[in-house]
Amino acid sequence: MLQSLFKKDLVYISDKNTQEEIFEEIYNILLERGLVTEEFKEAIIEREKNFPTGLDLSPVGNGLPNVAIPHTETEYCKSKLVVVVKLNNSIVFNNMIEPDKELKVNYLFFIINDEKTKQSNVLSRLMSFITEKEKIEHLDKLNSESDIYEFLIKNI
Amino acid sequence: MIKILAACGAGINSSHQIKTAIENEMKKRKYDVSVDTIVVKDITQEIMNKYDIFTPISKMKFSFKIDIPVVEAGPILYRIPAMADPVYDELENIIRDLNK
Repeated sequence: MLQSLFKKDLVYISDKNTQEEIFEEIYNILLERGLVTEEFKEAIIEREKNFPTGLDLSPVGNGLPNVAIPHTETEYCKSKLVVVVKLNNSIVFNNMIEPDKELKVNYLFFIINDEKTKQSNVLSRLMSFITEKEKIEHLDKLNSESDIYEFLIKNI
Repeated sequence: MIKILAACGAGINSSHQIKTAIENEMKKRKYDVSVDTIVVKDITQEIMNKYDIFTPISKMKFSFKIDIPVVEAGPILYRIPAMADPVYDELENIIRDLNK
C-alpha cells in the first residue's frame, strides 16, 4: 500500500531556497536514519541535472502549484518510502517531459526505493494523486506537517 | 508486430508506465505492438536498430544518429487524455505509415 510509504516524521515544511539546499537538508535527515547511502546526495543531484523531475501542473488545472518527484537509482537507497516537502519559497526545477523548460515548484515528493526487482507502482499511484485538481488544491491549503501527512494517507 | 523501445533515466520505472499505457491504448486501437523498456545510458545504436519506433520520456541526445521515428512519450505519465492523446495519435500515424 502506498499509504505505508508516507511517514509522519518524513513530511516537512521547508524555507530552503535552492535545489542544492533542500537536497542537502533531506539527505542529512535520511542519512542520519540510515535510509540512504552516503553517495545519495551526489547521486540525486546528478540525476536531477541529467533527468529533471519537475511536473508542470497547469494541464491539470489553472493556478495549481507545481511539483517535482526527485529520485535516484535503487543502489543509493536503503528503504522504500516517500518524503514529502512543502516549500514556503518556490524553487526552480526543470521539466521532466521538457527538460529545457524551467518551472517553479512548491511541493516535492522524494521517491526513495531500494527494490531493484519488483516493478514499483509508486510512480503511477503518486501521479494519479498529483493529477487530481481538487486534491492538490486541498493539499495547498494545509499549513502544518501533521495535517499534510493525515491528508496524504487518506487520499493517496 | 510493431516493436517499440521506451526509455527513461531509471529509478522509478517511468518507461514501464509508458510501456503499459502504449500497449493498452494501441490494443484498443487494434494495433499489434510490443514495447520493451530500457535505461537511457544502456542504449546503443545496435539496440535502437532492432526497433521500429523509439519513445523516450523526453527529448534525448545520443552520440549516434537515430534512424527510426521518435515520439516523446512523457505526457502519457500525466494519465489525462488531454496530455496523452496527442502522443497516442502521433504513434498511430507512424504505425500506419510503417504499414507492417
